[in-house]
Amino acid sequence: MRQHILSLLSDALPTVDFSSDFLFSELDSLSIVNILMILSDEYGIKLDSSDVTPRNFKSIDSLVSLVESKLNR
Amino acid sequence: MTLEESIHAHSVTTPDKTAVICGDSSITYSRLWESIVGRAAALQAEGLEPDRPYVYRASQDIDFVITYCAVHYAKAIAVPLEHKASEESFRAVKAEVESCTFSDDIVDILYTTGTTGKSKGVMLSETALVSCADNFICDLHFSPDLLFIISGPLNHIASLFKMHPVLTVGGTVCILDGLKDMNAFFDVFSLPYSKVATFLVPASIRLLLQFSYDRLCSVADKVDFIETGAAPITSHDMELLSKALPHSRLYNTLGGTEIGAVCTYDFNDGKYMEGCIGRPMKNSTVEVTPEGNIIVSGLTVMSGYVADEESTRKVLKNGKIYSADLGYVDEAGLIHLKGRQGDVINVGGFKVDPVEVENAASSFAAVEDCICIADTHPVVGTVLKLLVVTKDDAELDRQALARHLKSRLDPHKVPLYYEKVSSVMRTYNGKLDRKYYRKQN
Repeated sequence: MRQHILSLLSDALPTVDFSSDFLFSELDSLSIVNILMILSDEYGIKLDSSDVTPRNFKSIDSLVSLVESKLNR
Repeated sequence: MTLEESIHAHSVTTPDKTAVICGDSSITYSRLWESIVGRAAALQAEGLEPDRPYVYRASQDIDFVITYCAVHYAKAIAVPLEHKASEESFRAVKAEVESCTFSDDIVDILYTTGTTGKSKGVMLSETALVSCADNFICDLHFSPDLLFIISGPLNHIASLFKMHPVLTVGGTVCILDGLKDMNAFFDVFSLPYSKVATFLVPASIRLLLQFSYDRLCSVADKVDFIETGAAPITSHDMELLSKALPHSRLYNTLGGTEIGAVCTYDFNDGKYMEGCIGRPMKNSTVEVTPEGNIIVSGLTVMSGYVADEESTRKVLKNGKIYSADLGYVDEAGLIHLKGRQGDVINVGGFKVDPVEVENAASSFAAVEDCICIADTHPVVGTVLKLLVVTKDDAELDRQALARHLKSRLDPHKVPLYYEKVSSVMRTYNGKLDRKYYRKQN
């Protein structure tokens, strides 16, 4: 799943360095919207503004954890 | 009264009142005034002289407010650039403004998109800034008990020119670093203020409606007003926002760096008229020619462009700004926008000249030819797309190209979408055929 998410997001947002552990600080609101949309569509999960926290968007791994937690609900 | 004179007055009458909040930091009017005076002295000690420009990157924090006002207090000219402005553009602006002399009424130079692939410095007088703040105070009813959220970049007129009326009336500014942390945006509503207002570009309103509608409804009682502008908002979003905030004033404003804030319309009227910008504000006059061109005059208009008399002459004639906006006046006397002349692309309220993007892309080794066009994003509306013809038909390394552009352009000018094409459309005389792509979009 990690590789698939990384590939999807890197493809959609080519200027973002998804290897960063400070991902949230690299993103702007348009990038956040795109990530929410891509992950919602790909995994059929509901993401909203309350999910957009520095912790959830810290790195690609934390985004994977966010998706996994939504899928397990 | 200027912004700095107002802050000084509030530092005497309401010294302990909070003037600016940013994250966990805040500053009272008395501390703000002390900091402005101290910073002005420091800048003067570093060599800043009256009527000379001070170029700096606009940080998104309290320090920006101190520096901005300190430059004015030192009788110098504030030239705030985008926080992430590239070294190249910073140096170019600095060299340009430092080679010029300015009249003593110029207090701000704001860089905005030009029509030649190069940003233009818009010179603004103290009268223009004070009159623009007065327009907001009188027509949008800024009050001392207001907490105003500024989430956009502070070098942009839509944010910077909101700081003026809020601090002029003795209200409180809350600075956020964009809207990406929507939890931070909603946390502001838990602060002990009964009236909260903000400016949001239509793309940000769409973002809130799409991902935070219920949370927006839950803070409705505190929302005094929301102002939008800088790009068209749809009738659908006007209606949705009105339903979420039934008792709030919701303004659609016509403004621009060259003209100031000049017209506004409260669309929480059950009509949700798309494109309507209402009537001229107190210090502004707006005319619409029979051909549909919008002409603005009054106290808020710019003094001219830096080092570009030819462009100034084209736009500013006898104190009137001949804008690129097109519109009409309805039977009720309300002004409506219906488009814009020229090739500039409006991305979330930022005007982008595609030529600037194409010039930067052309310096990337693998690019043979390219055109920057507008594309539609399902949530935020207009975004930039770059169509690229590669040399020797090689594969397009989108990531490398995007990072190349990111190192040369302001962030909002970097396209979101990239597509390799076999050729780009050109007119019979070899110019890029932008009309063809506009029709396609």
